[in-house]
Amino acid sequence: METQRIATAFRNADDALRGGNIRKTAVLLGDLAKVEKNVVVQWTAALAFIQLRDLITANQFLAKAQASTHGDPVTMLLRHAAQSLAGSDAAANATWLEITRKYGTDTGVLDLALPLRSIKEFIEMNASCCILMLLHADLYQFVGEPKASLEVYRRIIKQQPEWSRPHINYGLALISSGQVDEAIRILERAVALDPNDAKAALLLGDARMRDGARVETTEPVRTKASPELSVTQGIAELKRGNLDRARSDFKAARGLAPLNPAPAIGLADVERFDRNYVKAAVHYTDALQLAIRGGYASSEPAIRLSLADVYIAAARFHEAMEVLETGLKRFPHLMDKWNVRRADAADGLRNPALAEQVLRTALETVESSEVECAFSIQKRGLIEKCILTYQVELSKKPNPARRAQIQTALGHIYATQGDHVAAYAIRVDVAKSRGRGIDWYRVGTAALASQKLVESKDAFRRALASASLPSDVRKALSPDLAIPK
Amino acid sequence: MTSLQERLCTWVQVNHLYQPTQNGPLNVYLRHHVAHCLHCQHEIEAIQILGTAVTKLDFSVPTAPDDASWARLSAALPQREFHPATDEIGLVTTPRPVNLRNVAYGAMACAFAGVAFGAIYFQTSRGEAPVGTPQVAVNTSPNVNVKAPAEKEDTALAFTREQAKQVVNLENTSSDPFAKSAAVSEQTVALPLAVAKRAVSEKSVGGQKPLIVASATPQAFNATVSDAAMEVSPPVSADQLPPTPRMALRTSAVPLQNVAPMDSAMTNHQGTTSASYMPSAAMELTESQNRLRSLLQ
Repeated sequence: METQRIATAFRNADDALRGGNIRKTAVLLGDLAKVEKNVVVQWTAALAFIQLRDLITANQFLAKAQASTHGDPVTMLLRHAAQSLAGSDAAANATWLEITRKYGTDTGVLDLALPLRSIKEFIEMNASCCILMLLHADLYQFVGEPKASLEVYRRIIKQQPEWSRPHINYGLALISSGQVDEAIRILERAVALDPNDAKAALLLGDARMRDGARVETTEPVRTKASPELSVTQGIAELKRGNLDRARSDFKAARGLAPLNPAPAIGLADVERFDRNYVKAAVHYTDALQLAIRGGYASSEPAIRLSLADVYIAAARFHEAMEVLETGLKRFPHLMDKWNVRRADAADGLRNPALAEQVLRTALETVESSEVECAFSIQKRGLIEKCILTYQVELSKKPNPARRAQIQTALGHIYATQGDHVAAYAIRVDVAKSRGRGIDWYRVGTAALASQKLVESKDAFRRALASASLPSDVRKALSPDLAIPK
Repeated sequence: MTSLQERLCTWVQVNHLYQPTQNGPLNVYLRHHVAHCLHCQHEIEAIQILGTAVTKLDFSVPTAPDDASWARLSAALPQREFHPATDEIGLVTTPRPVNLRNVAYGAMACAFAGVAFGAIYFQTSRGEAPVGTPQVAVNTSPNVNVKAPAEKEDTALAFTREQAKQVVNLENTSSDPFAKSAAVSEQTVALPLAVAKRAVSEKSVGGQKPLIVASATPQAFNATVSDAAMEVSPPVSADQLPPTPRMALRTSAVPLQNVAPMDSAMTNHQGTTSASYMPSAAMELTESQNRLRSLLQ
């Protein structure tokens, strides 16, 4: 009975939406949410009323959801949306900060495994509607899986071809997946469906700006002043080289959204582009503080790295070193990023020994992307010295763990020098002794580079068989194991 | 031929090994020092008295000492002499004392060159007489970008050499070492512009090898590729691990242009630059967060 009621209500809501009546859709879903206790129904109704811009009613359903779950990330995300639309920037900021603190991950995405499972189970047991599918697809974007959301958006668009909202969010997922041309096509359709939707026009401008050839044709919609519009225009002006106009746009955006780090970053980029490194450092520092206070966890390392870069460019090596050492403590998984710059700063401080030390430490201990350190060592002319040091250390028969570290570093150095045969030989030794997935992956890359195709496939297969293989590396291996994507 | 000022600066640096202090960069301090140090004034007077023979004096060091030599020299040299007038920076100086050496040189000069030369000398000598207040206002701004030598000697030494190099490299400098330079006296202490404006990779501190700074300025190869391409296709692309959101952060090290290096950015008739801009990784990530935040709206 309950399942049938939900299915009927969802079907009616979809029919109303097909007729372009979002109000009727929201009312139907609201009526259902009043009699159903399931939190997924509450979320669906709340999202429908947010789309309708009836934030008071949306909050009523969110309060009901909050009471039933005692706090869940989807309710918080929907509340954040309602607060943002209501113009309560400080409250929205605080909510987002709480979301990222509770559900944020190291990679800057949210951990929404439980609500996604709840929605999936609800749909399997009952039924689905386009509003719920939209929520489902959007949550995939929040967890950093835009590709998973693409199929859901396509299904919504197939059912509701005249509804602009899924087109917009689909366009964003396409941009995030790197399919800019397709995103432009979809967003043009979204703008055609609703020419008054500023979000669609802004996203279309953003997508076009990613295509350098079309930057001159980027003309964001002339709507009322908004921080997003100002930032987009600022980026467009900066791309055209109009530094003064870009400054004005970013300053306007800062006035409209003082808690958002994007305008400060824009100003910093303008000054950096103009080689005013000290001014750029001031703006990056502002942006860093806003990012930390506003829950922009994924932006923080990039801002820190930019800040360190401008300090180095300004020959303020002590400040650069301080920023980098803090970054290293906060984000140790980016050790190579910090250490390459720490080496630069150490050079500036006339401390080449420290430069060499930090690079070698990164080379020996970082799990991935150590190539940058190897290049940095090469650029400093330290290759031969490093090889000699490592060979001497190997001759002293270190313990197996240290031996593997040294051999890994040597493998990177040989590969950097283009000696893939030597790199392959030493990496095979490491993989046989340590046997981790990443070791076999490295064997595979060296084998591939030295034209040992059979060996490379075998190594990649062994890498995939290892549970410890990092997920990004696993994703990068093509199904036929021929070559990493 | 180096100028008199250059010779003096080199001479003072070698013989006194002045390091940057809290009072300002070396060139400013050198001028102050030279203006008040009896030791230095004797040298100056000797140069002036000898007149045209000044070009034969050589106060410069044959080659720039290496780091170790600087450190040894620094440690071996006695503390610089403390002259009351020298160390009270910014206070009224004591009158220059008359000394026999000056008179002796004067007499010798007169004997060789005659009364006319002597008249020129005395006129010049009066022109060079110290005034009641220091000739160089030392900037005592707390915004000093250098640690005190006692705390960070290596840095201080490096900075000293850099500053000394700037002094030596001055072009069109007056032969008068005491000529007050507006540019110098107004120079901010925090960041020597000549240092800041120059590409870091081009800097050669203390005559040593140039700094290799991978992240400071666009290199020829990375200025022509997109950030993403640079991340995934280094020379040994097969060895590069797959691109991840983390690796994209390397873009922050590239100064934002994707078509032409900074130095080639030309101003066109509309007052804009021709170099194109690639949004920094920080901007990309923040904008992506902003877009995500507005997803449900």
